[in-house]
Parts: sequence; structure tokens; C-alpha cells
Amino acid sequence: MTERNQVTTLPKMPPNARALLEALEQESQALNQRDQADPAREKLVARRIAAAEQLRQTGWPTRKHENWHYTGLTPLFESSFSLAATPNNDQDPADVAGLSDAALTPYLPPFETIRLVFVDGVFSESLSGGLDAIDDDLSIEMADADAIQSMTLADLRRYQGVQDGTRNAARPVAPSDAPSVDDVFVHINEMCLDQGLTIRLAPNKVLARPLQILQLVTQNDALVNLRVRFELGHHAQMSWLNQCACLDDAARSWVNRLQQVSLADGAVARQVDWQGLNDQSFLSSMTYVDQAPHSQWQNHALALGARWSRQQSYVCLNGEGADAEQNTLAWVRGQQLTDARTETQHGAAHCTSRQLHKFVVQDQGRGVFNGMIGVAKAAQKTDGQMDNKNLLLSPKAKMDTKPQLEIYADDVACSHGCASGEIDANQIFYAQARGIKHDEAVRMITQAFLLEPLESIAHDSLRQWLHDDLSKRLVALPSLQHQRDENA
Amino acid sequence: MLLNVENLHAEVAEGGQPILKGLNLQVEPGEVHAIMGPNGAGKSTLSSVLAGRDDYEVTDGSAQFDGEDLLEMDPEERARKGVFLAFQYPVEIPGVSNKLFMQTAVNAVREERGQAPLDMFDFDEYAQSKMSTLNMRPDLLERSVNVGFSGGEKKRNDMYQMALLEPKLCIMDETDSGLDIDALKVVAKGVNALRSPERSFLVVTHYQRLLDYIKPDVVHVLYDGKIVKSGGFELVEKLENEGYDQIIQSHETGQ
Ligand SMILES: Nc1ncnc2c1ncn2[C@@H]1O[C@H](COP(=O)(O)OP(=O)(O)OP(=O)(O)O)[C@@H](O)[C@H]1O
Ligand SMILES: [Mg+2]
Repeated sequence: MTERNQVTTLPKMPPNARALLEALEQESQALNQRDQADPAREKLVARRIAAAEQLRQTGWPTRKHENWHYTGLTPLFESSFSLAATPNNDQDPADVAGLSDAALTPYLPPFETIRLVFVDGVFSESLSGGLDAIDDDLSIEMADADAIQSMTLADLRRYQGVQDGTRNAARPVAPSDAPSVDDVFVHINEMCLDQGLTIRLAPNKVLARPLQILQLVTQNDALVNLRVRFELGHHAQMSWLNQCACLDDAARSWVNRLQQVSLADGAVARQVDWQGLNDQSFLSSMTYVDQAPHSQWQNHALALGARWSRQQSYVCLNGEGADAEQNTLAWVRGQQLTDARTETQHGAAHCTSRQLHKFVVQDQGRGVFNGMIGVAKAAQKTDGQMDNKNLLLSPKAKMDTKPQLEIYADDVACSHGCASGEIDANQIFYAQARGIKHDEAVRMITQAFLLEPLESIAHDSLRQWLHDDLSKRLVALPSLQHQRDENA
Repeated sequence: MLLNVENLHAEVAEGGQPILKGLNLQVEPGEVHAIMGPNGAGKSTLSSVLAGRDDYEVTDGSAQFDGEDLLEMDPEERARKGVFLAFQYPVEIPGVSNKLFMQTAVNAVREERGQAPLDMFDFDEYAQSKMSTLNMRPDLLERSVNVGFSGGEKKRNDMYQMALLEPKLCIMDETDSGLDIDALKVVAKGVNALRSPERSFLVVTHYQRLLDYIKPDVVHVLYDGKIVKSGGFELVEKLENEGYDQIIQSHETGQ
């Protein structure tokens, strides 16, 4: 494999960017060396090598690349990441990290779940719970990634781009598997692929308890590389809650996650995707959703933490009557950069998609939203709606937003809207004139603005719990006074 | 004296355009004062300055409320001490329920008075008790503050807030504008129900009708940033018949 690396010379890049890229290559090579003698992992090794080669060809995106213009990677290059260390033998990662149940408390909702806890990407049986509720209809596999992940880059590309107006099954030419700088985190995910998680729900099964997938990060300068796949059989229904949190406020981590969700006819999946990483950490996340006829996908992404985060979701409405709802609730403060992107491809007729993405940006925070709705020729009677609304709480807060429509069918109802602004001074004065303090008025108005997307969460106690948790966080709105002084 | 405004000068904070130009106004506890005057005279500006809106800068003069310097206080402090402004255009606040908004406001005022805060249940009961006088539709309390309310409902909601907060000084800026005849009676009834020897009213209006119902003690004409004439109820009738021309003319020649 070292020979292959020498074939492609790296594109020009700053020394620290190069150092990170080479560190990742070394991590990938170390995995390959470990797996060298294992015939069952031959295919996986080949895939890692191919992905490493792709990363070599693309290099890192820069601000010159359209999709990265507002999302510079410079902060990521400031440190060198290595793959999170995994415990030897069958040791529970919670024991290695010295974690007890108490560490979970802030992340436990007040209702029963099937709880899968991972520490630095490794399953911890001791911290997990509710596993007795798993029956034959629900399969949860944590296995060698190559055994469970057959998706190739070309498969993932099926989720992208209307291009000539025909796509997916309808498109005659197979999607390309050429490397692309836009897929840089996919390449990295693939070259560092080791373990994966696959969750399958049998047809017609309605899972009563939500699944809770809690990713706890403890190690410093660690890359936690995750691959998760959900498969719901026809008319199966389930909800899950993803949580991603750091246990050490000072430890810098990088979570790179690739999720696939496959929904068969009439399946219903609801995801709450909560991230509250610490202010040093990074999150790159790609979610690919594939929808058969009459299936329903609902996502609420809650982006509350991380120094830098970029969450991209691709939703493919491939069967008639499918429905997708995508929401973002982002609170961006300090030096944070929070980037949310959706690409929603209507590939079949009579599908609906709804989107509400809300950002509150304060301090020197930067928010980025990029949403694209594509409608293929065959997708008549498409009903697509996308809204992005942003509240800027300080003069230095910044929001870059780019909604796009690409429509090839003629009988569709699609709309998008975006609005960024400050809190209306009249609203604050109105509250003050009723005796409500300035900062309390700001908090009330901000909270009402930010929490609106939660309203469509059907699970009452989940919605209430998220609502209460967020209200508590917002009580802080820590630098408000400071920002007022700055404004004055 | 509850309110003592002397030689008040105020200008637009951004741009410095003078609007109030030496205004005097004295209100005793329990009195109802009506303020009339042509469009652009400065009636809303006076209301805003008294309530503490920072769009205006006071450049001269003073305003004492209950013996304290009103102009030194933040708007919320004024409200807590008993100044209430019913807005000419009540503001919509999406996502904040009227109920939560008013519970927060009532508890802010209670805190100032050294009273314990009302919890959700106590507040509900209190809110219900104030609802009947104003014929408030109960569902308006559950909705976002003024969002989707009709013009009349917004005004009525402001009156309802006034009833809940039990202020000492009620400044009503054109509360009667845009109300149908029945709603006007309801507002007048609400005001009359709140009248007490301790509570004073400053009622800004263009029309006689509301004043017929609430019978002000003093009527002022505000023109070009000053009170140019004050009198009893008979002044309202005179204005209704003759308009402002004569008063303005005699004011200007008198200068
Ligand atoms: N924020 C502001 N910026 C600029 N001009 C202002 C501002 N506020 C008030 N003015 C001006 O000051 C003058 C007085 O306005 P104000 O609203 O107080 O009048 P008003 O007596 O309430 O009139 P109306 O009867 O029409 O309600 C007007 O000429 C108005 O345009
Ligand atoms: Mg006015």
C-alpha cells in the first residue's frame, strides 16, 4: 500500500493540513496491517486502501470550493488526530475510561428506552440498558464493518444530484465512484472503517420504546469514526434518539459519522439527532436516507455544541407518496461554526417534504445553512417546502444561507424561504413595558424562536424533555449583557 | 402628585429631530386626563418617553412619578413601579404564549411589591377572574402574544394586561382607534372598573365617544410638542364641533 500512496502526489496544502492527512493515512495503514492476515477482512482492507487513495487525490476542500466557502477547515488542522484507542480483548470501554452510571445522568430521558451506549465509538454493555426489550423483530449488530456495510461510494452517490432530471433507478448510467472533495469525510470514514452498527426492524413491527444511541467521547485528540445503518422493513415503525457528547470539557475530539437509513414501503422512522460536543470538538456527519413508497422520515437535528460542525443529510424520496420532514435547531455561540445542509431529492410522484431550520447565533458564532430541493421529471405533484430562519443576537454573529430549488417536473408546488435578523426592538420594549427585564425578554423571545421546530415531535415526554433541557441551557444565554454593551 | 412633568423636551435619538418642546403636565392620584391633538403632535412620543422607549432622548425638563425621577429608570422598572402603557399598536411576539408572558409580567410586578410569585395554578385563577369584565375570549390567553389577533382583540388584550398588572398610572395611546362600538363599550367598562382614588389615567384619543363613557377630569390639547390648552369636558365638545384650527391659531398668535 505504501507503493500506491506514492502514485498520487498530494495537492498543494498548508503543512498542518498535510500533517493531518498523513496522520489519517497512517491510522488507516495501521488498521490494514492489523487485518493483513485475516482473510475475512481482505475486502475491507481493499476498500480502505481505495478510500485513502481517493483522499490523496482530492486533498482537503478549501474556501474556493463552492460547498466549503463558508465552512473552512482550518480549525481542524490545528491538531493532529489519531483514531480513538480501543480496549484490548473484551474489556468494557466504560471500565477502561473509569466511567460509572453517574456519567449518564444528564443524557437519560424520563422514559424507558433501549439504550445503546458507546464510549469513544466502542459499545459498552455495562452502561447500556433496556436490552431485554430487544426481541426477534429487532436486530442490533455490531460487527466488522465490511460484513455489514456493503454500500459503496457509488451507492451513496445515488442520493445526490438531479443532473439530467432522471435519477436513481430511472437513470441509465451508474453513478460515478470518482473521488470528490465534497465527499472528503466519506473518504475518511471509509479509510478508517473498522466496526459498524446495523439496526434492522422486521416488517410490520412497531417498536414501542424509542432506541437511544448515546455516543460518549472521552479521549483527547481522538477521531471517533462511526458508521451506522438503519433498515426498516415494510410498515415497520421506530424512533431513535442519537446523542453525541464529550465527558471531558477540555478534551478535543473529532466525531466523523456516516449514517444510512433505508425505509421500505410504508415504514416510519423518526430521529432526534442531538449533539452537545464540547467547545473544542469537531463533528462531521453525513446521513443518507432512502425512502420507498409511502414511507415517512422525520428528523430533528439539535446542534448545540462543537467548535466546528457540519451535518449533511441526503434524503431520497424514491417511491410515490413518501414523506420527509427535516428540522434543524442550532444554537451557535462563542467561536462556534455550525453548518447544516440538506439535499432532498424528489424522485417519485406525490411525495411531500417539509423543512424548518432555525439558528440562533450569538457572540462571534457563524451559522451556515445550505438546502437544496431537487425534483426529477417523474416527480409530478411534488409538494416541497423549506424554511430557514435565523436570529442574530450580536453584531459579530454571522449567518450564511443558501436555499436552492432544481425542478425538472412541471406540476409541482415547491417553495423556499429564508430570513435572518435581530430581535425586533419593539418586542423587547413591549415586554419591558410589562415589567419584564431586558435580558429575560430576550431569553423568552429567543427561546420561543429556537424551540419552534420541536413542536412536531409526536412523543410527548421526549418533546417535553428536550424542551426543558433547552430552556435550562438558554437561561444562561451567557454573554448577553456583554453583547448589549458591545451594541451600545 | 402622581405624575409631574415639567418643561419636557425630547428628540428622536437617531437624527435629533425635536418632538416634545417644553411640555407640562400634572396628574393627581385618581384623576383621568384626556390628551387630544392633531396627527403628529407628539402624543405617542409623550407616551413612549414616559414608558421609557430608548428611541427618544430627553434633552431638558423632568418627569417625577410618585416622587421619584421617572427618567432615570429602565422601562421595566417603571412598569414594576406602576406605569402602564397600552400601545397604539400592540406588538406581536410569535411563540411566546400570552399566558406565560403575562405570568412573567405579573410576577415581576409582584416581586417589586414584595409579594410572592403566583404559580401556574394561582395565576390561572387570577387570570380567569379578570377575564369576565373585558369579555376576553379564553383561547386568546393560550395563543402567542397578539399573533393573529384582530386589531380590536389586540387592544382588548392590552386592556386585559392592564387589569392584570393593576398599575398606578395607565397611559392609553389611542386604545379606542379601530374598535367597533361594542368593543369600545367594553374598553370603557374596563377602564371604569379600574378607576380608583389611587389610580390615574392618561387617555390619548382623537374621538369624543370613549370620553363620553369615561368622563375625564381634565382635557388637554397637545400641539407641536406642547400642551397648548387644558380644560374640562366641554373642551372635547368644542373640539368635536370646531376642530383644532382655532386653538392652534390663538396659540400661535399668542406666542
Ligand atoms: N422614531 C421616530 N423617528 C422619526 N420621527 C419620529 C419618530 N417618532 C416620532 N416621530 C415624529 O414625531 C412627530 C410626533 O409623532 P407622534 O407619533 O408622537 O405623533 P402623535 O401625536 O401620536 O400622532 P397620531 O395622532 O398620528 O398618532 C411626528 O412628526 C413623527 O413623524
Ligand atoms: Mg400616536
